[in-house]
Parts: sequence; structure tokens; C-alpha cells
Amino acid sequence: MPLRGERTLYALAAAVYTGLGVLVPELLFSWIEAAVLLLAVVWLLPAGLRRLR
Amino acid sequence: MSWVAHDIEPYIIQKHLGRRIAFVPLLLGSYAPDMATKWFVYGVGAFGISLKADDPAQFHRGFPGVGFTHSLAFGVVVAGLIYLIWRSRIWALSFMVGQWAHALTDALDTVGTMLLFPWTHLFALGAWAYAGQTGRYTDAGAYFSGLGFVWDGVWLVWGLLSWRVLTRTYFRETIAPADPFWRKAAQFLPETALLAIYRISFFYGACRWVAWLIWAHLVRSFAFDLSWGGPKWVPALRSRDVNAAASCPCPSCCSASPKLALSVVVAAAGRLSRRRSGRR
Repeated sequence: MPLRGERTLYALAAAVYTGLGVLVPELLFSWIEAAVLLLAVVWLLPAGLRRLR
Repeated sequence: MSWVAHDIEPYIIQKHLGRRIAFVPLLLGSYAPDMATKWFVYGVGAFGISLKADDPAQFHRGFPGVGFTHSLAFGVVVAGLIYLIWRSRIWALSFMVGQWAHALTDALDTVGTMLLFPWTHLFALGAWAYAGQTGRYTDAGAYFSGLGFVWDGVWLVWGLLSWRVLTRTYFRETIAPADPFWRKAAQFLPETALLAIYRISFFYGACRWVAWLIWAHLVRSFAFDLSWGGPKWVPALRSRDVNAAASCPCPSCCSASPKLALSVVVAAAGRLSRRRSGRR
């Protein structure tokens, strides 16, 4: 994956997690939920989309 | 207690120690003292049953309690077990360094940690208020209104300045070769996933720092108070409040912990000496 695309995905994951965390602070206590979200945004979703293409 | 430093510190330590340290046990060590205890400090509830420590600070940092998890000796003991089980010096050392970083960082709040357990004296610098007993949300509001969030901010900025430690190149050249965990994981996962796993704690710490600050000061209206030991609006516990009730004031009991520590040291020295003479 190009570096720019990778950075965009991490920034997106950070924005989503921070936004959700402010709205539902309970999320901020869970390392597991942050991990699942990060893996989903930077790995699983792009991999799934690539496969669909 | 510290909210973000435990997530970021391992990356800074990693940067300075390079291949002499393995990241996974370093991170586990950094989380270990709170891993099995924090939920009981704040309390959990399910199916109408609520579980919470009667005295959260005593449970978290004291003895009787699990405060020994925040001592230097705990790091040494678990590192010893890791070495005995896996025969990996780098895993043992990395865990110990991570756990020591946690124990030392938590000594900065008003309750502090029993760094030299079995001596039950709490070492506390008192920079920010310990308010775990007030519940997780008030605790969060207090922490992100006092010097605690500044301390975390220092680690975050230091982490950002050390951005190279988060790069793919650094992961390939330094992180992966130092630890067989990554080689084994690479059999099942692509590098993109491994890299994300490596970066999770930094991501978690950085996002949490921003989110808690927004939540505490824009969503809620907790007042900033950057005075030493603050914020003063929260009923902070001090080191004198922990371990106090459990101790008997008689001279014999007051000296029990030093006696126990001395006994352990003498027993360990005797055993070491016997082993050495046995080898000869």
C-alpha cells in the first residue's frame, strides 16, 4: 500500500475512534475495541475492497 | 495512575534500546500492573451483580491488596518466571523494563506505589490527584484537568518526535528481528496487519489523550487546575490513606514489613551462596 494511502487510513481510524470516544467515553476504556477498529480500518476493509474489485 | 503514558512509554524505551529489547513483552510489562486489577478498582456490573473493591485505592496500590503489582520486585519475579518458562533473556528483561516504567510512573500521583515491596512504604511524588475511588468518569475528568494530562502530553510529544519508531522500515529492521513473536505471527498475517498491531498502543494512547481532553472540557465542564497535587476540586487520596487501616500501631507490627523484607533478602542470599558453593 502506498505510504500516502496508509497515512490516510490511520488518520481516518484516529478520527473515528476519537469522535466515537468523545460521544461514548466507555469506548475509551477498552484497548481491545481500539485494536479492532484500527485493524478493521487499516487492514480488513481495504483488503476486503481489493478482493471485491 | 497514568492514563496514556503506559501506552506511549514502550515506544520511547524501544527507540532508545533498539534490538536489545523486544516490544511485545515490553508492552505487556507496561500494562501488567493494571491488567488484572483496574476493573475491580472502578467496579463492573453484569446481570444485577456488581463487583467493586470496598477500598479501591487500598486494593489497587496497597497491601493487603494487589499493590505489589506496582513494585519493582514484581517485575523481577515475573521476569524470572518468564526466563524459567521460555529461556528468553530478552523477553524477561523487556517485561521487567516495561513493568518498572509503569511502577515508577504511577509513583508520581498522590498515592504512589510500593516500589520496594515487601517494604510497604508508598513512594509518592504527589504531582497529580489519585481519584480512582471516585469512579472512572470523575477520575478521568480529574486526571485530564491536572498535571496528569501534562505528563501524558510530554510522552505523546516525545513519541511524535520519535516518529521513526513507528515506520515500516523501523518495524522491519528493529522490531521484527528482535522478537520471534513477529516471525510466528507473519505466518498467519500480512505485514500491514502486523504493523497495525505494533502501532495499536500508540494509536490508542494518542486518540485517548485527545478524546478525554475534549470530553472533560468541552462535553463536560471539569475545571483545569494545574497546581501540584491537583485538581483540588476532587477528593484526592494520599499515600497516608493507604495501608493505614491495615497496620497495627504496635512496635512489632510497625516493623513487620522491614523484617519480612530482610528475611527474604537473607534467605535469597543464603540460597545463592549454597548454590555457588555447590558448583565449586
